[in-house]
Amino acid sequence: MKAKWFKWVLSLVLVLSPLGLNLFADNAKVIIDTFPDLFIDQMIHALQKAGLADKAEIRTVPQNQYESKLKLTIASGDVGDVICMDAPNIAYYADAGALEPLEAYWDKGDFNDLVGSARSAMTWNGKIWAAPLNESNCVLWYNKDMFKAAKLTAPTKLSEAWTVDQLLQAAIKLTKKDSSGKTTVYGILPQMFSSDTRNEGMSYTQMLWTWWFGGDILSKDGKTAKGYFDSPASKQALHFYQDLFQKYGVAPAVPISGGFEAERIAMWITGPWMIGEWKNHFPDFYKANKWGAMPLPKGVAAASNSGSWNLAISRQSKNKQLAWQVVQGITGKDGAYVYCSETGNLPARQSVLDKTDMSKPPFTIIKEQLVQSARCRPVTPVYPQITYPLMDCFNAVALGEAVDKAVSDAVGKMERALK
Amino acid sequence: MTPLTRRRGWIATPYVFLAPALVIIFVFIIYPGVNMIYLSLCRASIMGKIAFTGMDNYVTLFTSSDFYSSLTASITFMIVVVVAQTSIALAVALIVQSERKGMGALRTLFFIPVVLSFVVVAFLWKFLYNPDFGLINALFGALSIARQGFLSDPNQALGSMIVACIWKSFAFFMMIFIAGLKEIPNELYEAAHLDGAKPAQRLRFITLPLLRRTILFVVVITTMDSFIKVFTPVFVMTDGGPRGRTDLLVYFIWRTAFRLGDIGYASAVAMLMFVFVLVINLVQLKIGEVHDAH
Repeated sequence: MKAKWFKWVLSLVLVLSPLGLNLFADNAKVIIDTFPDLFIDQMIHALQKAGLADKAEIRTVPQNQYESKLKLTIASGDVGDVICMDAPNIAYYADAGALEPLEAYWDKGDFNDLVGSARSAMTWNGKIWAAPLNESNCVLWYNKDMFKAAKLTAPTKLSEAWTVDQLLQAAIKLTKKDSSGKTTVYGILPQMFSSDTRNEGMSYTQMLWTWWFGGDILSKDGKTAKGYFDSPASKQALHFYQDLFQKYGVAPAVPISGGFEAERIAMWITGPWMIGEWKNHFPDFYKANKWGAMPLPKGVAAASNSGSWNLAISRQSKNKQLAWQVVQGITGKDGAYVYCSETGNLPARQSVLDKTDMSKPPFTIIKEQLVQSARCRPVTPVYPQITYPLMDCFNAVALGEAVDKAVSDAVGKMERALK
Repeated sequence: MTPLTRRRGWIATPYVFLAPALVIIFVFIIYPGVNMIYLSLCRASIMGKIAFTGMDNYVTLFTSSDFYSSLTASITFMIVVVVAQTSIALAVALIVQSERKGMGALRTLFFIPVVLSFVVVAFLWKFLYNPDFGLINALFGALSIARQGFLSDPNQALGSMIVACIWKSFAFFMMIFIAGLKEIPNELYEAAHLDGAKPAQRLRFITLPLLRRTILFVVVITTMDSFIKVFTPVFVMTDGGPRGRTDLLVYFIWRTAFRLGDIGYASAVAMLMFVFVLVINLVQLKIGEVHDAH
């Protein structure tokens, strides 16, 4: 009888085991939703160091589909436990009820290890919603040979940063035309991509101009754009920006593929990730070492940008504790050091910044800017409906549209979204 | 026979066979359509938050310069494509319809873009139009013609896209016209020729009147295609720019729903587009009926 009973129990265990119902092991996993360009291998290395590599499964979609797909998976209930999220969109997803607030999980002292701009970007409505993979910042790249030929000296410290007027004068000197009057070298590309582009990289760099002239996008409470994006200071910024393209012709209104690398653009506002791009895709340009970095210019105010990709926990997750462990595994002090040192990305944690070799340009400049002048993009649940009118406004004035009309259109759209 | 089929005047069998199709129509057409009408009356986020707001979305729509700009671009696109594509398709059909040597190969050559994916066509033309290294500007340079912005120029972007779309699609309608032309009895042309009618007169008094139904069909289909199916070229080539000049209505609806997450407003725009296309089609069909009666 006992033997028969024993045989039944053994048979049950043997049958259930292949079905994954292993009664003697914990194989719970969390799914991380991300896109391939976000350094998946380095996330895995961070998790391996934390002993959590077998607790996470990474699921990717191409970056240009990521945001649309993310919204659909949240709506359909198929979203992963951990979601990669762009900083300015955190409030949008939090307001939609898609994210789990993190105060219950995250030690306050550890949260305060983040740099100021990162703490601001992670917080909305009094709660913390995500943890940063890294921070970001931009510099003004320049072509060393062209600077030498034009007898220009690039500043190396934030305290020596050019004013916007000095930048304009340099751009005029660097702009070259051929005998037929066609511009062969433009002095500056004053935003991340050409003016016919509509993606977040444009807003990320274009709003710098508003800040440099003392303007802003939204009020401090994020409730209105009226009186802010259409303020005299903001309009002055747009006039100056427009003049670069239209009046002085120092910025290209048409796209020039690889313009900086092809030495057809002398200065460019974009981020330090370009070093990796040049190394991989423009090796001759990279090896020739013609590129230098200087601090972003300043107007009535110094400002630099910030905000990158982050990890948040989905409110639909059934493994929130484990999801938090995975998030901390990648973004905690140890994980962030692994991730940032292997990717070359800028750490969002002060402790990791202090450990990272930032002694060479552009990182000397970036460290200064991140700590002293970095500002986060407007934190608002309707950020998608703020960023597109903003970049459309800048793109339109670059192509000649009247500033007042472009601003009025943009503020109208922003106000409709904010009401 | 089942008890049901014995009831006087009512037979279940046809409904049983119709049921799968009716279910599919209900699930994929009727239910989404009714849901869209409801969403158009709500402030609705793509992630699930819905609040009834009545006609707010429509009020916003009718006071939105963005919407009018998109509608204008769509109507312009539609009119130009309908007129140009139909004319080109008919003209080419008249040339290649004969069975002379080489015409078969020419028909095949013209038809190749039709079988290409629209994504491939859009990328191809995007590269051709590139102001920096595109083939067209390279040819212009060689002929000492000033380089053009094409997709980067707000005044040229829509026209450039129209050229690409016509290149892709005209041959499909060329084949429809060829089929229509083959239906016209040759004796009519012979008789007209004997009466001294010139080619232009034969075209005007024989070909076009007898092709009227085919032309109407082509115009109706092209109208619908050019108004409600133009998404891929905008997505690949211009992203709605520059300055919103190629932000056609379908793309406007997509980016409102999926980029901005506002499916309530997007549904309102889609409703308006539905009404607009319905009206256009009814007008076109009515014109066709009037001509037939005449």
